[in-house]
Amino acid sequence: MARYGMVIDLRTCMGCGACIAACAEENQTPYWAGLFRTHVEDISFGTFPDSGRLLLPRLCMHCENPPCVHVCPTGASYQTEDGIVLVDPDKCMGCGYCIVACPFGARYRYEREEIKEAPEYFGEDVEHLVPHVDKCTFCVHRLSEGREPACVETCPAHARIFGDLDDPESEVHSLVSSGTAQPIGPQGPGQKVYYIQ
Amino acid sequence: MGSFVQQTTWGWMIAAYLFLGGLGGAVGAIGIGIDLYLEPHRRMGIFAALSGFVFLAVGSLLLMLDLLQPLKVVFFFLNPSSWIFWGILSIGGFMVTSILYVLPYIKTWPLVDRVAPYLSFLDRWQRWTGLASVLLGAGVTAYTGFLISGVPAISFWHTAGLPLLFSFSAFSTGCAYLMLTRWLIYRREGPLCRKLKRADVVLIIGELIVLAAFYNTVLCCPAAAQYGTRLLLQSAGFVVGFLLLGLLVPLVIELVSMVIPERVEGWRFSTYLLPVISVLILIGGFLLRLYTMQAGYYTYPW
Repeated sequence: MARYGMVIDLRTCMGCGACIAACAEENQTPYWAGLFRTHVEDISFGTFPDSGRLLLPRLCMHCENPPCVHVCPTGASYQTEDGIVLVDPDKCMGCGYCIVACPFGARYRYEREEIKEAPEYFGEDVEHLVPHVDKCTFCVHRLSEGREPACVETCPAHARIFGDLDDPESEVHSLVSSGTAQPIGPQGPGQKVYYIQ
Repeated sequence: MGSFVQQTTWGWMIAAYLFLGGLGGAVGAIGIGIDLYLEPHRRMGIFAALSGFVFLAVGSLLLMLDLLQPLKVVFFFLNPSSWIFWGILSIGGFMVTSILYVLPYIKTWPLVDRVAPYLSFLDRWQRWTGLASVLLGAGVTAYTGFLISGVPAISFWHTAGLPLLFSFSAFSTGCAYLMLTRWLIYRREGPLCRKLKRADVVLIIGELIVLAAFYNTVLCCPAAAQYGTRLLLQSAGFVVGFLLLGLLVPLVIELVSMVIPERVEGWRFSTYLLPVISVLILIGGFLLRLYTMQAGYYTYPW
């Protein structure tokens, strides 16, 4: 069984936002309401002359021990055998406990208003039909077709690298096992998104 | 790097849900407990059980209104590792057992009298349904604290002291509610009210000790918890509304009223101040939960 993960190379990310757009289109996120599954944080730090700027793409970390799954009362948040954390919209009642529990702000509510407006943007192929909590799925529907997540495929700078963390042949495995890529934030949940700084 | 970001998912409706949950559970536990274990007091038992039922029903309604899909509450019982699972179990359990406890008392009430012959078996079980109500009511008060302390991402909430603080506060508001309603009915402070007042003094002192311990712990917590604490202590609503008017002023008045004579030159102490301190404690209880919600900050790594 695979253990999917992602490595993000902060040295090459230029903040073009192509990953955000690709994800929004692929997964029909309510971008008109400013809600996305992935963001690029534009961070300025320090004071001149010791200052700098960092472009930091972020998304669901698909934690090994996801607090969102632990707190979900209905079992709508769950983890697949591949380690991908998903939400079942048919079970989700939108209590928001998972949003509150997520240490990375990776979830949002796909509200009733957005569900109503979605057909204006996505036409008849609209996929989100009921209000629920939404988040990155590592484009699980594409993985089953042998394709990479939309953000990875779209990134012009090859800043996002996706693969099986347990596969010794994969690029993500070598980057993580060599220590080149490191997780950020609290270590407790066991994130599967790593960063090269 | 790192930034503090306030949680905005849960607002005043969830704060009200936590307040009404704590209040309802505590009122039920105290009132039924008095009837069963302190002095037989049928009216108190009925009033507390029904009040607790109504508070929990209104609180649950607020939770439902905050849901994206309220009809999916049928899935509430699928994950025992979630505190909401145990909360809904306690709330639902209390609502059922409190009604089963009350029914033998209200057999002669209109409508109830029609089904009374079928309910006679409940008489034998009333001590047990009452005991279950007391335990489940107490469970609901603790649940309101565990619900939010079970979120490791928000260090201000993720402390052992929060369920204790919410429990002390809930039982204090429960006493205040029962004192207030008894005052509204009798317009004076009876012996039972005095007992409730003494219990409330102990509860407020306990709440202050837990608050101090909580503050002490937060000083060693991650920076987001300290940040949330600083904001609370700079907020007039928290300091004046909760700490001063909701805790210290009622405590001082209750203590003073316990040591001075009830009647001083024709001026009955309890007649004027009892309802005031009861209302202050109730408002303070809500403010505690509202400001706790607002003090929930994440430390994001960006």
